[in-house]
Amino acid sequence: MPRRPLLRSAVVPAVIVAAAAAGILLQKYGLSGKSGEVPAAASGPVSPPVEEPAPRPADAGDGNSPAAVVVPGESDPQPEKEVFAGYPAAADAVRLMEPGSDRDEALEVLIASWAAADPQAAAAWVHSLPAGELRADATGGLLLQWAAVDPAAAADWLASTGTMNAESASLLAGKWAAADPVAATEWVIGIPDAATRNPAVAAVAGGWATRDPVAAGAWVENLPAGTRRAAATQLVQVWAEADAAAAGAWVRTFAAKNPGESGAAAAALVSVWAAEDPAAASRWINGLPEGPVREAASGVFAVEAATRDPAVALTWAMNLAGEPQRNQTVADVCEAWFDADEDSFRQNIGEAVAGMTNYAMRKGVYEMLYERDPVFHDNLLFWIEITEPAPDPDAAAGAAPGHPADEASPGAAGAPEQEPDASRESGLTAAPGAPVPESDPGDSRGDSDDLSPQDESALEPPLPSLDEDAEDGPGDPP
Amino acid sequence: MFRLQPTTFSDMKCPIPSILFAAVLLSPAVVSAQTTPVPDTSGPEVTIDTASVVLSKNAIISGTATDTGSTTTIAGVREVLYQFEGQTKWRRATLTNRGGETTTWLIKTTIKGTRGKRIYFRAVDFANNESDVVGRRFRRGS
Repeated sequence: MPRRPLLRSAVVPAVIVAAAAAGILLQKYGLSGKSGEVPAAASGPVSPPVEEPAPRPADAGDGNSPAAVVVPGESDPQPEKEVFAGYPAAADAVRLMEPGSDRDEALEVLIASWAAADPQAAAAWVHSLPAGELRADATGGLLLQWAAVDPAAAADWLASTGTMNAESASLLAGKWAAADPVAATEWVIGIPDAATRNPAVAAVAGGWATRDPVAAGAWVENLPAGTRRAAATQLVQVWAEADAAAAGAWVRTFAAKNPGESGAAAAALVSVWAAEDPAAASRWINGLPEGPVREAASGVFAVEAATRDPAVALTWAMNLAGEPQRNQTVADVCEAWFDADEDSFRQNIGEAVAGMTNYAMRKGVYEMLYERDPVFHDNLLFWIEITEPAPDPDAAAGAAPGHPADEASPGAAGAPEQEPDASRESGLTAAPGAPVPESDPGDSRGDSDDLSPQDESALEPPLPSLDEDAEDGPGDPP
Repeated sequence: MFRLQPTTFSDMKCPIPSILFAAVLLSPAVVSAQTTPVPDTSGPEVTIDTASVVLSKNAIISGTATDTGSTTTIAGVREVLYQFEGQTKWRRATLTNRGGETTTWLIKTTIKGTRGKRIYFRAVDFANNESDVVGRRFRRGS
């Protein structure tokens, strides 16, 4: 591989030197940018913008541009500014580099500097690139810089290229909305292609949420069907980091009106909230009505809780209603457990799996472990009874191939006997207000407490709301 | 299961041409065509809903996977996998409706710096058909 070191040694320093020289020139000539062109709404009555656009130089190229790009609204005469003349040569050097992190790094340095000094010339070079990841990355770097100074001009350029897609449009929209949400909403609504428009609309919701999540939420509620789901998800993700309880209240109201478009928002909320305050997150889930939104939230919560308390996490996972979803979530919990505390996992997974009378559920754990630790996986064969149940013509008629029937396996040699329990499925349905159902103490799921690490501190319930709500449930502490 | 009844000609109470016609209809090829599920050969589709600019500390990247091409019982999205650029391992995203015709998927990761990272996604259905790989670079916007 002689070319790569050569390129790296020759081109990367050249780009960096060029960028450094550009920076020196920028400082030398005191290019302070067009502060007056920041959209007026950014300094409006809403809360201060999250990010203040750094003073940037702007405008027209200097003759080094491969092709001049006419940008609407740029007709005002601007004072002549001297821009580093080496950008095009540096850009071409970057273009000749082999794909990889070196090229990405050089491109990032180049575009950030060039777009700050002469966005239109940089834009012309970006547009001259062939379609592919290089152009996509160059476009992203350009827009990230340009949108902080003159998002309207950046939007006009992007629309004029004919190459606008979800990646570029959402990047610009998100940056724009953080500074001027009203202008950003007007722009994204006018994007003709839905596949490009919807992520851009979602980006506006997220960007707006950094300034005023309540206003952003009101806007999302009034979006047309089909656009709301992604926008709500993006909004909630940002909102939850600032105020998860408020975001949760909004999701609950939104879900009541749009149950089919709320699962992702609930999942995003719980993903953030459970990491910060799992007890509060679990209480919020318990307050949701049964249905797909609660299922989505519960599944994510189980995976999030796996690193804190695998026993509780498995209880949540096993209480999911949908068969493929439940089994996969159990496997996901086990995988997270394995990653977080391998010793605990090794000590307790045997009993955990033995408590799973569902063949497909055991198989999911088995397959997960096979990928992670084949040797340990083989040792677990004693516990993981993986023999597929004998086919039952009647049952098979209703079972989809690839979805093994949800029934107990025949007694496994060496594995604890599990009595097939016809009431198990109904018992797994979460009682209203509590994800952990009341169950027979002899129910194998009651063994879940044994899954916790053996030290006493680990047996402390990390999720108080679970124990408050799950009276006599299998996840109760001693 | 299809069974010819009665099984002996002496028990038959209909003319032989009718029997022959019925036999043709119930020949293995015809029965197979009528009852064997059509193999699912169309892959699922995966879309990215999250904006390319990330404005929060921990990025939750989500999207949708859809598997509508199947007319058999072997349908539904089995998993969505993702890969960070420069790495070889494909990781499994969290699904909210595994096995459903449409499911939301999400991953949690950190995005640092304006360069961020490019992430690739693909979906797999229960017939092991795979979607096209879609990739996007996510950048930290603030």
